[in-house]
Amino acid sequence: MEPERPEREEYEGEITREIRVALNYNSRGERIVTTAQRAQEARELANSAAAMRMRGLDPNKTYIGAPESQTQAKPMTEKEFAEWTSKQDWSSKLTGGGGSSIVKYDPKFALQQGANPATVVPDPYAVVRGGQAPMPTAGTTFSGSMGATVPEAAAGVPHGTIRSTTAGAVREQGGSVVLAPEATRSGAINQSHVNVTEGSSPTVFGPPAPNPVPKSERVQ
Amino acid sequence: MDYEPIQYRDFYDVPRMFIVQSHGRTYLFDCPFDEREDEYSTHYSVFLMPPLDAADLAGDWRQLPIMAVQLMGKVLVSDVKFDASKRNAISTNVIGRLLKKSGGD
Repeated sequence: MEPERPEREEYEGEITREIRVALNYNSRGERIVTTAQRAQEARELANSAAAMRMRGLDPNKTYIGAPESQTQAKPMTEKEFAEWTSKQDWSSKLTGGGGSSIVKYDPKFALQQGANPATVVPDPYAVVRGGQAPMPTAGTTFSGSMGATVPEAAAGVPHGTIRSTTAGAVREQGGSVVLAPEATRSGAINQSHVNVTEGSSPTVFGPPAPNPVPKSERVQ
Repeated sequence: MDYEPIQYRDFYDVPRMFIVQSHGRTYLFDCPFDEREDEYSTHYSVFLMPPLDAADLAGDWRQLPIMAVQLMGKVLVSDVKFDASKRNAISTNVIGRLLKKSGGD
């Protein structure tokens, strides 16, 4: 028996929705972001003849819906949709977009998309200050580097010695971590540069420690 | 206090390399990272530059000191007064003091 199929418009709408959701959260509820180009490719793929073939559809036919084996016979309710999306592995694919990969959440990309520079660095992210000099006093804005890990952050400073903390620790004591990419001497952009202001003393940055990133891999 | 706009690269607490024009001349302030001290220099080297075109400023600034006409001297980083953003302008008093010291105009 021919399965009941949703309207084509709804089918496409679901794909778009899948992508939109895929761009925001993975199955663990973590926010994820792909590049605009990948997202665009995914949308194009989702609506392309290739995608239709991948889903078992004939691109030369006008469908009123998708095969039941490929998608839901009926439009999903919000609850069904939430359950379904929670079971997808968004970290490795865009199911609605033909298989483009998703990169992890990237504050630099989010900033480029218009995110607030004062909040775009997640609380768990590492923030490092380069050098062995005493930390600037609370209320003074100084330069640092951020990253998902200490090594990632440490690559954004030229120093052989770093102090580290997290963005959340700075914010907890009333300070701020503002993403502010800056051009290096060569003209390349240091996307990890942050303006840090500690809210109170003592500093939440740890003691000086060797920079785990080889000199050749640090910002020049 | 007169401020003149700057163009900069390599920001760490303050711009570590910037171009400023004053009295019709172009100056380069350069505070490189000191590998031995593992810290940025405490001084800017100040260079008198030839006229720079857009291509010079769009390219790799590590070549700019090589293009300098003259090393004017050195000034403490803490003696350079920036605007509130630390990115847009500097007080040209520091250039005046440097010129006096070097006997220039």
